[in-house]
Amino acid sequence: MNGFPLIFRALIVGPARRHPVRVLLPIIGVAIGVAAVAAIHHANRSVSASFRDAASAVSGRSDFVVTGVAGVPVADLAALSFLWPLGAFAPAVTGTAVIDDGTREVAQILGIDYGGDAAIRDIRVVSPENRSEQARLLAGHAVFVPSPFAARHHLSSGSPLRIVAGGVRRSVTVAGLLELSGLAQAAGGDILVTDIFTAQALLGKRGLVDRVDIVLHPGVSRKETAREIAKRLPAGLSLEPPGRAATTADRMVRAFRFNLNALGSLTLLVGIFLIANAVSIAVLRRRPEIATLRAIGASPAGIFVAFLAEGLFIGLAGTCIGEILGLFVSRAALKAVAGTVSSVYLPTARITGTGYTGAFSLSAAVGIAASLLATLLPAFEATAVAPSPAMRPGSIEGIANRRLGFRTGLAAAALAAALAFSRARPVDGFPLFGFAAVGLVVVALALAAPLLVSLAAALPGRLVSRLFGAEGRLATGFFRGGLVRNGIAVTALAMALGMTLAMIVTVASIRETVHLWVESTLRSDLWIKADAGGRSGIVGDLPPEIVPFLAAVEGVEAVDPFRAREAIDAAGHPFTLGSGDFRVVARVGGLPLLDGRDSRAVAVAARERGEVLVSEPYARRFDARSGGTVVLATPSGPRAFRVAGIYRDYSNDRGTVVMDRALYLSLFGDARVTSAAVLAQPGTDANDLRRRILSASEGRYALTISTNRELRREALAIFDRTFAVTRSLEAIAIAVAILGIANALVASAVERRRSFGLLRAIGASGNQIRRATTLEAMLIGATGTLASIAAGTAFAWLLLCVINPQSFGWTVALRVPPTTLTGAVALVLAASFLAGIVPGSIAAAVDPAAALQEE
Amino acid sequence: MLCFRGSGRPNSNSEFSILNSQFSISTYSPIVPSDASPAPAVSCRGLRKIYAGAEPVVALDGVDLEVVGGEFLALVGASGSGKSTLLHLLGGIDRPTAGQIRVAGREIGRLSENELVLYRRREVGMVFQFFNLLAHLTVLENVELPRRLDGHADAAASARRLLERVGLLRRAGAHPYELSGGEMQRVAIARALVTGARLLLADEPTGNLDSRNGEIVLELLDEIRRERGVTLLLATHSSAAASHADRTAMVKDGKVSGSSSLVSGGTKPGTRNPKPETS
Repeated sequence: MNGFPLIFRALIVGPARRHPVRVLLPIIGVAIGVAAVAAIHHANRSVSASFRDAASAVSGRSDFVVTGVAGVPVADLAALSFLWPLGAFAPAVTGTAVIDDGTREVAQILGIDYGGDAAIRDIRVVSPENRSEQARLLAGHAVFVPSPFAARHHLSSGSPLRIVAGGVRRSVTVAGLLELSGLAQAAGGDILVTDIFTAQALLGKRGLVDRVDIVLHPGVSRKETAREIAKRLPAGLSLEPPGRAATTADRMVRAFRFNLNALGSLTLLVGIFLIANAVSIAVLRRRPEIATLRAIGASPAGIFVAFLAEGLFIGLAGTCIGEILGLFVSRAALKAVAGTVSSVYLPTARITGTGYTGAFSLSAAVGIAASLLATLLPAFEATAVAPSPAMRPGSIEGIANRRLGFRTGLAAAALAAALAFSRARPVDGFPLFGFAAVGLVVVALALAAPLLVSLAAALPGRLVSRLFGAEGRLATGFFRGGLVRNGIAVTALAMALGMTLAMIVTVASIRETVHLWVESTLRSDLWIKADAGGRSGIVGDLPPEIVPFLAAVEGVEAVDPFRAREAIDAAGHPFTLGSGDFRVVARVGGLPLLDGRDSRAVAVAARERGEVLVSEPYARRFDARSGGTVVLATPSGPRAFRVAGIYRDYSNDRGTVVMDRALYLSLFGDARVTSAAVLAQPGTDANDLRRRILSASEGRYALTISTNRELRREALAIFDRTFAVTRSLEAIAIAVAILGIANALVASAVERRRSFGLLRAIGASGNQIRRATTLEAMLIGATGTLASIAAGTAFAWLLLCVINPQSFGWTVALRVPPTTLTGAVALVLAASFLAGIVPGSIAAAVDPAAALQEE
Repeated sequence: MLCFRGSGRPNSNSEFSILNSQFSISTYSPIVPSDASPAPAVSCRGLRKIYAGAEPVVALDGVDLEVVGGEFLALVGASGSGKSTLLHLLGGIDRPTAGQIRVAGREIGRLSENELVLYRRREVGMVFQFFNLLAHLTVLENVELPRRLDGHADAAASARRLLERVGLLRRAGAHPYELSGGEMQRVAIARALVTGARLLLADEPTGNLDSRNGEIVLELLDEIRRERGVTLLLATHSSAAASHADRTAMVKDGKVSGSSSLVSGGTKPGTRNPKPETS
């Protein structure tokens, strides 16, 4: 392109050298956005990779895995004997244990057929090297542990190791050490490998295995054999690909990950807005130069490419800084995300950081692409600068007035499209249209901003003029005179503050809803689970005998044993299958139904008729209706159940189907207990009862017992931890937006040097100009705040009524926390006042003679 | 006050100095090739320009104008009379609402956007009241830019020759904000000529200058017009400035009315209007 270097210097490099801060601010904005995207993407990738690695370490070389809805009965393995000539198969028992040596770490237990497993999984024993000795050591309650695990826990071959498994304290012997490869890498190396029988005994799964891995000889048709296996498998067993476990785990947390990605993108969106802001202001400011260039024969393409190159430069510089920043931020993000995944979704998940390269590449691509995207519109606008009128001083803002009607029409169209998008169904469970609607509201806001400035200048402007005299008049004039420039600042503020207000309302609403739900559902006095090593979730089951044991303790009125196990539907979508004693529900209620019916009466009827209750997220995800049917896989084959009612549940976003324990036992034969709720007899103190239970269980069971109050507190603590990442991202977004306001105001002050010089020349004092400029900043802040309330209402509605139900399946009651909202608004107004100080000083310091001599 | 030494003829190695001014030029090699085409004639017929808006503004209202090749025409009128608009239309930086503009026989109003870019780049040079130099480029870069845009490898050399011609070669590395108003306008003149344009449009070129610098600029424009065989249209509200022209046309309320010149019809380029008694 002929003469391009000179065009680039005239329009971009020269001004950037003269006012580097104006380029620096959007660079910082992009850097923060890229860092947020990189960190969140890295954390999310680490979660997926950890699931995948764990699943692949256990699956080894298997071609298929046989699983059962209630485990695979060992007796059913005979059905697979036809596979011997075609390949090999190896059963395995899986579970979790808490290491009871003071570290309270959680480890995975894997029971395998030590003799025949080598065909499937790689196990390398480091010591003892003698194979017969290895077999001998496995005879008792012995386990192999990976060498790093052994080193960390000061173990060697023959060492005793105390664990809590199946809700019982036990002692096992370390049979030997494993090299940290193959199977030993499952659960991040925190694994106890033992034989099937020991694992069954430790985990209370006698007569059952959890999976059977199958590997076929080379040349054997996978397709035909799979068909044959499926044909021979008894009811209740199914054949699935080896990666299914990882996919299922990934699906469990995908709504959480999706929302994190969306919030990370929000930060980048604010960064993009900063670039668009900076380049738009640059185009406005350099209209005379653009017009001159056009007048002397520069083509529109040259002008376009120059501004696009500026966006590219900002994007590249911001991305480079953001990637370095992301390296540090990603560690904190990984810790926060891993914490949420293990406390809310999968307590036994071991999340380890994966390579940064993927996150690096993606965030770099997103950062640069977003920067170019942000520049496209203003660069295109630059090409539309006509050479003639723009060359006259003072013509910069003239065009904006003429486009007000057009822009307002477009804004209305964007809002209408947002409304239409908000009614669209989720795409594969993701609220894509909901987020698109949020984007359209942002677009509408940006388009309507000059109109808002125009209206704000007409209404409060008069008040400001009256209150602050000459400075007020000046401020109003400045404000109205910069429709586009101030419109950009107003939009940046309204977008960031609106999103923050919406997030405040959303989080407060969900928290209050969860609080009320916890209050209404937790009717028991004590909640008992297997010792989880201090973790908030469930780690391991309790044995069936725990129910009569608890019932026999003095002061116990009733025990509600709850059983929950992960299940998948025919399409592979995960949900939770649960059972409880509906007789207890019939007594105390505590299962709030969506339709407002009394859950006690519904539980009685459901127990009598063999019906199920489903949670609200389940109903949303699987289109279940009260009075309709759901089909569940049972050991005796698929079976339809009538839905007696839909209950509110905020503990699980995958959805839960609950049936009476008696029905569950008859269908699944699984008597183990996930947790137990205990009702104390009237007049019995819950803390006393806890002491009695712990005392009675001493030496038999390893239990964690929470009182009702502790459990409620814990539920809210988990909630707060889950939203900690959200709050950090909000804070980042608003910080970036304040940078944007400062950027717009500084640019505005620099651009109006001539006007300030003129004002000084006709007698305005530096202080008067400073006050007028600060008042203008306050007007921008106030207008932006008003706009943010409108935008925030739209965002909050979309988040609470569209995105949240589509992501998590929860209905949330609106709650507006006035103190927090007022605080946020006051903070932003104060920030806009502070943002006006620097440009105020610039304006006040203008030398009238020099400014008037400038072109 | 000007004093000429040498022939003063176009295309010659002239030497002149301006008393009390800061420049002296010994040699001058014009960019225009010796076989250059004749200076373009300009013709306007029924030219109208209306600016749209809540209250449309009629800037030009049926202008008919003939300018012969090589002529120096002064368009004289008060602010807002339409003379700048007329120059902008002639310069291809704005389009007429109605009517015809012919430059060297070509209809300018019908050119496509791309053709207009090339027209502005190659055939017309403009000098503005506010100089419109690019602040972040040096003087040399400002002058060479149009020729660079046209892809000429000799842009810098041409720019240097023109800067030498306007007496500012020693300021080639300076930025516009380091120059006086008169110097900036001389740079703008050099820029307008660097592509070899044969139609020079000067919009109030002395409006921002003191009388001495204004006089220097006008003399320079006239000299260069003669040297290079350029058609020069000057918009001004000053009768003193207009006195440098061959012919004067009055612009008022968007209409061009009457003209005066020493030679009837204004067909004899190079002949001056009589000097006014007052400026």
